[in-house]
Amino acid sequence: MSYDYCKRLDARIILNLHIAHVISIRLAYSPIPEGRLLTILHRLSSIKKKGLVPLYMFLLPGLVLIILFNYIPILGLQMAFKDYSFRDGIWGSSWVGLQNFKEFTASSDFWRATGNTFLLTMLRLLFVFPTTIVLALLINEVRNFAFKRTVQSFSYLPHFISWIVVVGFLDAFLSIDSGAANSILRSLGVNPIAFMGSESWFRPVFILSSMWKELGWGTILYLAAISSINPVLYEAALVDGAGRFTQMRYITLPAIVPIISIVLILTIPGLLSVGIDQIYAMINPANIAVAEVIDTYVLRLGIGQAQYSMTTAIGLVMSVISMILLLVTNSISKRLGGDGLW
Amino acid sequence: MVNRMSPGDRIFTLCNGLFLTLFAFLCAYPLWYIFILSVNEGRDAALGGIYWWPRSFTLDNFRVILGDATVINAFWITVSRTVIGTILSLLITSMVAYPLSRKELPGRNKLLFVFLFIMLFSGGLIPFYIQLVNLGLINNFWVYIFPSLFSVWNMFVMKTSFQNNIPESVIESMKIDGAGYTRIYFSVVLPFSKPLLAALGLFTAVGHWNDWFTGAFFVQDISLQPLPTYLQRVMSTVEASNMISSTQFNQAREASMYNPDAVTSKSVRMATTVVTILPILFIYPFLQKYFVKGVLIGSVKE
Repeated sequence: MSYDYCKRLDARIILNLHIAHVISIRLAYSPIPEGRLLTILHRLSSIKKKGLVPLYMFLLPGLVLIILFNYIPILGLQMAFKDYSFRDGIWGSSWVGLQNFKEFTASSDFWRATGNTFLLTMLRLLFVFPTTIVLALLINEVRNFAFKRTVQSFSYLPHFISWIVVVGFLDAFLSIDSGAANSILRSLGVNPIAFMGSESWFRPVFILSSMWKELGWGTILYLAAISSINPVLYEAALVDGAGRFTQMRYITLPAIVPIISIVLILTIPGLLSVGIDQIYAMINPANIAVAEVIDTYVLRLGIGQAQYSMTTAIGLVMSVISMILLLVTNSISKRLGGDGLW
Repeated sequence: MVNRMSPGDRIFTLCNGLFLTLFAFLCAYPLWYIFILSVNEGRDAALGGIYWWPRSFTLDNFRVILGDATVINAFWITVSRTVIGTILSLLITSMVAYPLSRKELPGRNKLLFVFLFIMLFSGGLIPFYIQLVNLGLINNFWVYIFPSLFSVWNMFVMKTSFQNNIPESVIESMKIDGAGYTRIYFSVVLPFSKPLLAALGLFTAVGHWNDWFTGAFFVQDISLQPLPTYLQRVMSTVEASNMISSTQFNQAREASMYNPDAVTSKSVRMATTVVTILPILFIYPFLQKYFVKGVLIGSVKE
């Protein structure tokens, strides 16, 4: 046992010596330090001569802010491999290897939240995405300019209303005791339904409220793309005797296919997050089994129950997956002929 | 062209018009519904059947919330964070976008990557929360301002616009006249970008106005909570009964200033909702002028 330990220790010392050796060789053969210093000094003086110093000063506040609120939290991700305690801080807490990861992957609540996240984002993609395109096509078919503007004004409005208020609307319409929907049901002789507090109604209410809030807003991009179509195409089609459906099918729709594919691609990285605002406003003990998503799970366990290390581990996995999805998405859109997101 | 419409086209136009009218109506109706419930007597509204017009009109619900120090305080917290946050955010963000839009900046690509990286990868909620704790921002008004002060998305939008929309010749002639980069920023870049700054400013302001998350999780002090957080706490049924009944309700009853039938927890909730969305409705016409532009600028890459 102790021999084994000594051997490992030896190996480590040898390794360290080796690294030190390599570094010293590198240092010995690197270009002369004074030369490097001179080039740096030369560059600095040219920056000063060209009056570029203020430009760097302009960057400073932004850099400080992203270091404080973005880069230090990224370094804080090491908590995922530690047993974090407030007393020892992020750097002082002890390493525990992959224990936090084992802990959350063993939790059935985590897998339930993951399943719900994918299901809800997929349902949203399935229902909201095509409906938005249809709505844009219908708005585009309106010839009366004033009417078109009015419809657009009304349909963009919900985008600016916060989710908390939307849930207030839902409460007013759907609450079991005094909601409008239930008073209509009651007058028809049907038993009232607990829309907001039931597992089976959560998904329909989720989809419908997403639609109410974002359907109109989503049409902006498509309508902009449609407005850049050359009107000559429509005139030519009209001369050839094409009806409105034919025009829509063979001119308008093909013209917005690039935008459709970009929007579709852009939803891929979003598959991991449903939008914490909406879920948090709608979740309650009665529907938690279908409503809890990864974001609310992290919130509930992390900030609510102070399980910092485990929830950071979840956050790390999510960050890595979403970065991979973004990079993949970007290369897909580049390959499809676009120039990518960056 | 109208004469040439076939019967099929005419039916389509009619159906489409009806459908879109219905859609526009559905977008606006919830706002109207909340409004009439907030100006109707609460007990009466609980009987149901109010859809288009208040049945027994009262302003008592608004008197209750406007007489409640918690709501007034929450309102001013929201106003001040929106004003301070929006102005400072536009300043700091454009100050970063300006140097990064100048191609002659040495090390520009490396710096761009430093900013791009935070769009790709984040530390997640918990390390961010712990950083807020370490900086002493928990239970502090500045938690509403500092973390959202620099917006990397707006920065890239501004940078693109600075590169494309500000005539290089103007900047060159300023340089020949001996102006430094600071003067160019204040006397060319900012004035030229007024429409863009207005658009991004309005979006930022709406974001501040609607943000309830920060107030709900990073602030426990009731005197620092913004209006949306207050609304969220009132909405969540667990807390609603004790918040409304104990503070607003009893005060109102004890003072016997209000008709007790007019004020119920639900009608007060509706009135609070109206107070929260009214400012948004107020700036909406101004917003409308810009948002198509704003969204389009956002979608344009470098």
